Amino acid sequence: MLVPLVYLVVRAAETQATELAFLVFRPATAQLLANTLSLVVCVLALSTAIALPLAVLVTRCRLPFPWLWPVLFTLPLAVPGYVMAYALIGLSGYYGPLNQVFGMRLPRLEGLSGATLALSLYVYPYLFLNLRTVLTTLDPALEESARSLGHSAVSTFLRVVLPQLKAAFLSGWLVIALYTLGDYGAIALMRYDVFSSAIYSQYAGAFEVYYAAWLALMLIALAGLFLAAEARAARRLHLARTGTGTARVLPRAPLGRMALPAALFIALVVSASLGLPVSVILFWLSRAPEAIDWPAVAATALQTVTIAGPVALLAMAAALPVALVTTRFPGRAAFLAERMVYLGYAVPALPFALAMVFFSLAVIPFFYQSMTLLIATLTLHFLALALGPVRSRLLQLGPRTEEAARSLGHGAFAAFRRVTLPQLMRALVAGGLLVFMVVAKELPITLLLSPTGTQTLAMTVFARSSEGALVDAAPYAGLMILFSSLFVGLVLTRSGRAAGKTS
Amino acid sequence: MTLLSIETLTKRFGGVVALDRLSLTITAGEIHALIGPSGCGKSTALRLIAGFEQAESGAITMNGRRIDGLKPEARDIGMVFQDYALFPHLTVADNIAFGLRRLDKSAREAAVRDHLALMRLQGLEGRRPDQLSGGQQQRVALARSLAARPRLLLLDEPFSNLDASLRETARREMRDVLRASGMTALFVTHDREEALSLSDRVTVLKAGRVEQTDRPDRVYQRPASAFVAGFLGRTNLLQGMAEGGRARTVLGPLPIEPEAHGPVTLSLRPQGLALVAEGGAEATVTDRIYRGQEVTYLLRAADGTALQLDTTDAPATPAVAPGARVQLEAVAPGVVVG
Amino acid sequence: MTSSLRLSLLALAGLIAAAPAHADDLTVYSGRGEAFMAPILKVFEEQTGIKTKARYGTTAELAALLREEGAKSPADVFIAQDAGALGATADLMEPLPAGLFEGQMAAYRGGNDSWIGTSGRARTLVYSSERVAADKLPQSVYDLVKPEWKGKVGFAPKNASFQAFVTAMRVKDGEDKARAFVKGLVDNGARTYANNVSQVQAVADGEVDVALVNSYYLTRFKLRDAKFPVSQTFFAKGDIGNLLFVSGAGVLKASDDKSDATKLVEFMLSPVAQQYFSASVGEYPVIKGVIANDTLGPVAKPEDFAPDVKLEALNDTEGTKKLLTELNLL
Repeated sequence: MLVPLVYLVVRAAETQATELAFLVFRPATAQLLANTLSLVVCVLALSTAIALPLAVLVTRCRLPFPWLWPVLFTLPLAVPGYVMAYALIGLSGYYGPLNQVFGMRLPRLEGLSGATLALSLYVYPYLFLNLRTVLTTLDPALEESARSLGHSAVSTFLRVVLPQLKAAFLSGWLVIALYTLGDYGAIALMRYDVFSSAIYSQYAGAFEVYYAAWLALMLIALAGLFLAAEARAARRLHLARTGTGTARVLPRAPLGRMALPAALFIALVVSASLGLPVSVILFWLSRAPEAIDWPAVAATALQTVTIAGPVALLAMAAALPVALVTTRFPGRAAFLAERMVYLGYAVPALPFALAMVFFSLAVIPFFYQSMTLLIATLTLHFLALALGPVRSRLLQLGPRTEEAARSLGHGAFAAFRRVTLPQLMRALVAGGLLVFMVVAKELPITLLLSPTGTQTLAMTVFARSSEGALVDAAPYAGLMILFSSLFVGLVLTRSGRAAGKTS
Repeated sequence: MTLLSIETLTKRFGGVVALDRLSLTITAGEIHALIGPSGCGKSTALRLIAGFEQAESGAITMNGRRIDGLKPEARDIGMVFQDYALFPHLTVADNIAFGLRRLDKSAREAAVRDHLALMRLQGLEGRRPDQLSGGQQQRVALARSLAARPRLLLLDEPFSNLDASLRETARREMRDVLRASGMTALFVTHDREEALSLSDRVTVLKAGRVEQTDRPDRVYQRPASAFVAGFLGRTNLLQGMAEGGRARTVLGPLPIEPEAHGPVTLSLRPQGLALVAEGGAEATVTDRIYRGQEVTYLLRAADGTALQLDTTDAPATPAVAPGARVQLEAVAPGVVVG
Repeated sequence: MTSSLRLSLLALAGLIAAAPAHADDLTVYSGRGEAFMAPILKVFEEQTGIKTKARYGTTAELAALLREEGAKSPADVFIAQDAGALGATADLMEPLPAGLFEGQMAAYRGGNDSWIGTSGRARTLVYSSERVAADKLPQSVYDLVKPEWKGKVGFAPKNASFQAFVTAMRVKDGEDKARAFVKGLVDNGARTYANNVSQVQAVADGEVDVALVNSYYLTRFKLRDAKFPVSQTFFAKGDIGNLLFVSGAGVLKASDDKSDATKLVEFMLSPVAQQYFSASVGEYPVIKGVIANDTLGPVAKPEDFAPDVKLEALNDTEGTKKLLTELNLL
């Protein structure tokens, strides 16, 4: 895990001092840093502006079809970033539906505003899910106390509820910030220069490998900084609940005169984050001049499955022992193992892939560009996603039932297999599904490490749309969204049912 | 003088009736206990009064003014929650100051100081709720509500989260503080000892309806129904035939109150029965439960009625073994409960 | 539950084991896009029975990769967008058989037998046929830094073909003039794009009026939509903006099947492939007897307009990168 990163350092260290000054420490690098940071800040701001009202609406207000909204507000996760960017770009321009239908040629979205919009529209669910969880589990008595102490609903929200959301904000923001740092496709399509796109263009365009290595190290440092800042801020929070509390659910308030603005807001978010990509893809599909090469599309989909499937299974197989060790035998080694898993996730994909390229060529050339290395790298990178649900379920279960099984004469392994594993299965599968989905839409690692001749849906969509062949990309992008939303649906119902079972 | 009055309040959750035409009055300055088994609607009543839920029908008036349309923050009614609901992100002092928005800074600080002192919380003002013991949390919750000077204070099972050893002191302390500040309080409990020892008046609730409201000694001694009698303490329910101030029962003729005629159900507390050497009604001992200061005998009367009898455990009283035949006598009147 | 887990683990092992199959396929590193290359590779496979698998990327990326991989490279054939990258990787290439060069037209011949030009392309100017009048078109690429083109020009500094053009400019007109030109573009508010396609699209979308691209990109748009509102032109005869250069191919020393690899390079010079490059891609054929593409119009005869720059002069890619890096374009 650490070894490839060491290779990154080795490559960076090869730089000569003069070149260091000329290439690495120059204004353009500072510009990249400024761009990266402003993108992170803007994406955090916009996704918060989207996620917070939505979370309040679904947890505190009386809406028709209450089961529908959480699903709709989570589904954008299924839209791959470059598909979102591609949809936003495809909206404007000569071939855009607005010009073809209404003769309006809008300037295309690009740069900071374009990248912010594209990213926010599909990362906001991370924050939404976090906030929603806290808002639904928050002790209703806190809000009621504040009301009975003379505070209005708004004042109560600001002074009591918002402070309780800090932890949820922090972890949601961390995920979004790391995601923004690592995203390559959407930002590249929006032609905004940040660390990740600069790393890619250095890698793809210039021969300056060590500059790419330097940029990659800087990006990792930035990610580390975010991690540390989040950990520091989280330590200062005092949010432990004092009472035992009751599993009471706060009654939902009718919307009243807020009904119209709320409906408009929901409509805007849903149509931008889901309606737009789907309809732009449908529009392009309808414009396809020649017959779509369905066998090729199917082959690409199959290829995607043969990568994402093994990764998901491996991640599940690896998450189980890691979760077991960290929850049952907490200690320094277990702690380190767990940190490693999260570090693998926090290191942005592109530097991670680059490190793997350097490492494999120098140390294990036989595996270079092999399916084995690709799958191993993807597993290392995404293991944390499978670990999360398993870990929290294990903590929830505790060792008690297993101990009961031991006292009934089962061996340690048999007790685990017959008592704990069946109860763990749902969480394990939910984690696996999540990994499958993100691997299926993953781009940078697949791009750099896949065996020659590999074509995944993500690679195809990215290649076609960056060549401007939006029409050719449409069937792949459509399939991709269909694919991913199926998985988001599965993950949601799986975890929903699991949660329903335990409460 | 009536501070709060509730008239024919009805509330359903789904199809389940939580409150069924509940009526209740709270007198200014009194401590009023609302007691009943779980699910009797006592917490719902509190939440309706506080304004967290809306009733389907009925009225709530405070000082002659309808308040059931007002928002919780406009009612001038404070509430102490079962798990205290202290704001975990605020210090003790900030928690207490939370309801004092309308005061200026110095007045607010003075009020916080006073209430810290009142609840013996000095030195803890900078702590966070998770750094306090259960008893301290409870006192902060009370201080927070009192500091806001509501006209009525509602308390939802205020002692249920405390250790048994702390409860006794906490109750006395709370009663003293409420009395000292002249606060009118309505508290919900399922603990009869708490209700009886703490309040000026007790209302017993059953399935969303009021069974009886009266002074603690009155509801205990003169329960209005078999349910109230049984809920407030162990009791013997006897069938009898009343003839004015007396009734014929399996224990022989018994003085009763109030006067009645015809078939009645009588409640007779275990302390109202005594073992006598002769001249009493015959019964068989089925079990003997040693309780330390007292002993409870489980008995079967001649007609098969199960009875219980408490005696003090003095060296002079010889133990009676199960299976023995004994003679009983009522030493208190039977209370007509039905 | 557990048995299905066991089954899937078994399947997983199978998948991993099966992964490195087809190791004997001909591995092609293609700096030319999949849209161009996939059809021609398919014809090659059908004609020869030799299976190929291609890794697509930018020419520079693959050149860097070949350098990184060195003797361990799995690649057999390198197909590059521009002569510069081919020149820069010449030391990794196997000499090609002399007979291969005989049919090639003189204008497309490099000075080296480690690679061969397989199709010709020229640098041209695309312009909006809606917003730019034909009589207002610039006569020289140097005109684009003048005030009347402020904010109206697109260029792609990260694109290898643009870099080849800058290299040619440095060689022919001198380092200072080249630097002044690129700096002039930046100062004149020219917009940067990632590649040629996005520049052509940007002209259609109205973002810029003109853009510096390769001659064959417009063909793809015109073949699909004859009304596409973009045209292209050369500058005046001999202007450096009309640079004529080649894409090419070479066989790697690291190749484990040099004979099949050479067959692929030979095939790319065959009339079938050349006709494909001309008709479907819009490139200039490097052998005689190929029917010209009729969508090229004013840029159909590059020999008449091209400046006198030798292909081997384009090898100095490092100097160009340094220049572009100094101007913060890379």
